[in-house]
Amino acid sequence: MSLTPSDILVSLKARLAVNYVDDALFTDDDTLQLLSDAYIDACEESLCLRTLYTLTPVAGQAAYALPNVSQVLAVVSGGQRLEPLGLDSSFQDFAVNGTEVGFYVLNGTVGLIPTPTEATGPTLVLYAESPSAFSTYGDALDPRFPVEYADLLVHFVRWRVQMLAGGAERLGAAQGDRALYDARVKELRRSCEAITTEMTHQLLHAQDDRSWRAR
Amino acid sequence: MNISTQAEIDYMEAAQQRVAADTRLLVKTATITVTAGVSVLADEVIRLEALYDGSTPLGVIPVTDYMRITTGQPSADQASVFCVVGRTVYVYPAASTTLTAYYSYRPPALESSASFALSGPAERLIERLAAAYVLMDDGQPELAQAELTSYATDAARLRRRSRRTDGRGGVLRVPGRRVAPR
Repeated sequence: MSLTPSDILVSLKARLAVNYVDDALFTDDDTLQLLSDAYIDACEESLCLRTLYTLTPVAGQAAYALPNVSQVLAVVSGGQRLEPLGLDSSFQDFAVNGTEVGFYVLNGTVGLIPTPTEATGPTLVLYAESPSAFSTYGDALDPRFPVEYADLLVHFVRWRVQMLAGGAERLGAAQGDRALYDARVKELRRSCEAITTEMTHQLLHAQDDRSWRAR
Repeated sequence: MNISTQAEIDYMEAAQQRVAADTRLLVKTATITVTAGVSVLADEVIRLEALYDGSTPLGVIPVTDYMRITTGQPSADQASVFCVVGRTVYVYPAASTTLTAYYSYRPPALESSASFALSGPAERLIERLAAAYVLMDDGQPELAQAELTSYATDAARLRRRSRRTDGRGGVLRVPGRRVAPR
């Protein structure tokens, strides 16, 4: 019978169990929790779970909930990009006939400054989401998280278990895994930004040729 | 393919997916359906390289420009443009139509009875990368890191070679002028 690949989290757990995650010290639930921590951290740091959200300003309402928001990247209203302002700026008197000039982010909501005085056209919010934690080993990764970057979850978990296990001899190896994790998250972030910005000008091929130019 | 254990095929699958994404050697065209200016890309898409309406290419714009056009008052002669957010393509003007997408894609999941989707130097990269993963898990991080570093160099080299041979690369383009390679 032909073999097919395991579910992604099952295969990652198997890799961790080879030499690093001792089942005498860590249960399957512990490992799943660590994989969740890695996944959430990687998604939030890389901003890979991007979404474009439409909100409709309502007269007298300043704040609008954003589902699963991690970071707000841009807010555009009436053809104008709004400035990111602090919450304290919402107390200032912006006498601009109710046209939004800025926004703030607080506790999962985005606030428009000044508060809209009438219902206006749609406002678009570009933001990065934070994923839900894994509940079982059968869970799939969000499609916006490229499967080829799943190996970074292994590096994060190995870093954590080696730090938790302690011992000076493990410190170097732990830092090595941490460095690999950070490097892959940076690659993932650049990859996501390349898709949205690199294609907009003709330096696309030069991005690939960067090391060629250095030769 | 001589794979006899679950661990082996898991390593090979992870390596194949990463090589396919790092080299972007697998490319194809396909028709995508746009509904009210929105289309969700298939999971296999790694990077959308171009979008065509018949023989007319659509321009690519930054997401923030798309946001300005959509919420503001675009000019009457605004050309058709698109942007990508996550795995969703946004097309302006919003319309329901079919377009031709040119993209690099991920191969289907490996089966032990089948061959790799990539061949030649890319297939050797898969084997090297899988070996690096095994070394890493076996507690030989220094050797694994050396293998990963050389993999990254060779994957980038393979990607550049591919772009030169299919006419997409080889020159440094900047807006307004074209600079030939030295």
